[in-house]
Amino acid sequence: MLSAVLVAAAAFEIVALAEGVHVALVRPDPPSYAFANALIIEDDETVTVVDTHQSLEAAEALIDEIATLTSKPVAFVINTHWHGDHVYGNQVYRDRFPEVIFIGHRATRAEMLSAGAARLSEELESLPGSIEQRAQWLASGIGPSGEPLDVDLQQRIETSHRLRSDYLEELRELTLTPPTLTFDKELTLKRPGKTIRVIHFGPAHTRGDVVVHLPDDDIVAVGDLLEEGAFPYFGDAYPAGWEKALNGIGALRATTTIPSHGGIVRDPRLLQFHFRLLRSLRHEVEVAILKGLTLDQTKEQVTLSGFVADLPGSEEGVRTAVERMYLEQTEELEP
Amino acid sequence: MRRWMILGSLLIAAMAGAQTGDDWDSVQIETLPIRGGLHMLTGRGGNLGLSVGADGTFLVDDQYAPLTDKIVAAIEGVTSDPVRFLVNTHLHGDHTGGNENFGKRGSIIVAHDNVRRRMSTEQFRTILRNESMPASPPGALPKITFSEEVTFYWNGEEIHVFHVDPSHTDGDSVIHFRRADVFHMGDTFFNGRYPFIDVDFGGNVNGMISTASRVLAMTKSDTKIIPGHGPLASPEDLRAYRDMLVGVRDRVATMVNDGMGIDEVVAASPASSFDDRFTGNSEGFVRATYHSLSEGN
Repeated sequence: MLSAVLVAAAAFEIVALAEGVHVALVRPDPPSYAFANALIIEDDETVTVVDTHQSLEAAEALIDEIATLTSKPVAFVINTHWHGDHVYGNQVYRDRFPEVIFIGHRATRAEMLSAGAARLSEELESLPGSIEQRAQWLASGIGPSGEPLDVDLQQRIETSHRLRSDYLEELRELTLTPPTLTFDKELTLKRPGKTIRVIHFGPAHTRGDVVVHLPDDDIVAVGDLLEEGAFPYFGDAYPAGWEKALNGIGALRATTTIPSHGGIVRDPRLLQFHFRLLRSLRHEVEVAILKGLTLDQTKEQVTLSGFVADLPGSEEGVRTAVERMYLEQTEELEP
Repeated sequence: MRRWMILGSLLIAAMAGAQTGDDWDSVQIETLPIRGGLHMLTGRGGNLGLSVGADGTFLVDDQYAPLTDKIVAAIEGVTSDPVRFLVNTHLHGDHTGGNENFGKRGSIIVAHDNVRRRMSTEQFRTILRNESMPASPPGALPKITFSEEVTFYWNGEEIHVFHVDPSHTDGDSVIHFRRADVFHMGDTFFNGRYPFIDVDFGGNVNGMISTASRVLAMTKSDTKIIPGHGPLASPEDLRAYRDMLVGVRDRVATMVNDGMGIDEVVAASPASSFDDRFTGNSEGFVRATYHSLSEGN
């Protein structure tokens, strides 16, 4: 257990952004189930944390890290949206800080209790098979494509096997802990010495995305509305609304942007990239629909090749994006 | 703070004929259990709503600062848990006077953005009368504010706090305890009394009517409603109140259209036919209605 916590602690790096504001940046290496960056906001009395990691170990490790920064208790946890890598760690905060208040958009609570619960069940069902599969590869010395394992592949499979096994154990202990305080458009926490704005710009990456804006520090945490170094995930997205949300983020004019995945962003070009990406997606799918193309034909035709060249593994992501945009435009997607 | 208290006392005196002065010792806090862990507390000032349960104590409004100890004692008669959340239905001192005291005891104060905005700076009245109120101390200000609505999943309840059209002020919230089906309407509802509409602070008779209608549409026959002032109400009480608002509003609107001045309108007693069911300051209500309608609102 101790070693797992140490591994989890190595999973992120704490970076100071402003007086009382830190970000826990997930390190790509060593691999872990931390997955999403967390923002740590300290006011004169308490601490507010934005997003709680997918792994309970990582959540524990982050709380231990926070304790090295300050002795103040975590009073608020804000979930940017309902995906597991942003909310699964909630229960650890409840255990460690019984008074903690979980804040999120009302759709985040609703989705956690429906789609989120369903996804958790799926994970619990599918993980044992994928762990067993990896055990077989390691035992037989034959890899996924029938090739003999070299040292590098064997190590990666071993790591994957260990991470999945640990993660499955955690999932069996998991109690989805949805926000207890939900809101619609905007909520402001006037903490002593710190103002924290929580803003919903409408359905975008999910139905209930919120950004966390620190107006006095010019910092905004945008959840998965902006991705740094990867193609954005559209699986639960409302692409037209996403464009509007980007406008809302732009209007905040924050100098420092924290996406949940990737590094600290101070270059406005990341926002512009997402604007252009979403606009092109909309235009190209519009044209395909006007031409009378089916969903499958549209997925063949719209590749967004100008946007994905530098983003590894984006082909499937683009197909998902095209599908969601197509369904939204043909009104088969109800927010 | 003191000016707030005096103002609040005068308002209550004007509206309800209540005892005035600083005679706080004589005030008794009464606790009326409703259902589902919900209670209505009365003392002097706005009615309080109280939810108790496993998550912690949840309070709506807090009357005047000198009453905090009595209110706390009354709450302790129901639960040993301290107040975690305190929601203000609006900014007036007879609903927020205890904020600083409760804040010191660790309660988190929640209200609409406009409540904090107005409490943060000195406020001036120029329409209904000429007066100013100093800014509230930082400890009395709401610490969580919202723009439209906020819901607490708390004590097994869904506590839905929603901002309504400018009614009594421009920062009014109505609280719906959905499971128990109990509302707290703050001063958007004076049960059996003519309302005070604070047009200087953004209140408007049309919003009073739309809020009453909106809540009425959400009620069932057994719904219970805590009004800002007056006894615990039924939907029928709210309907009678709404119909009175509409009746007076329509009469005053006709008079405004006919070019009558405010004193002529008051002299015509457009509310008198409701005097058998409604008590309080009908003249103040008529004047506020006139201002609501004559300023292009």
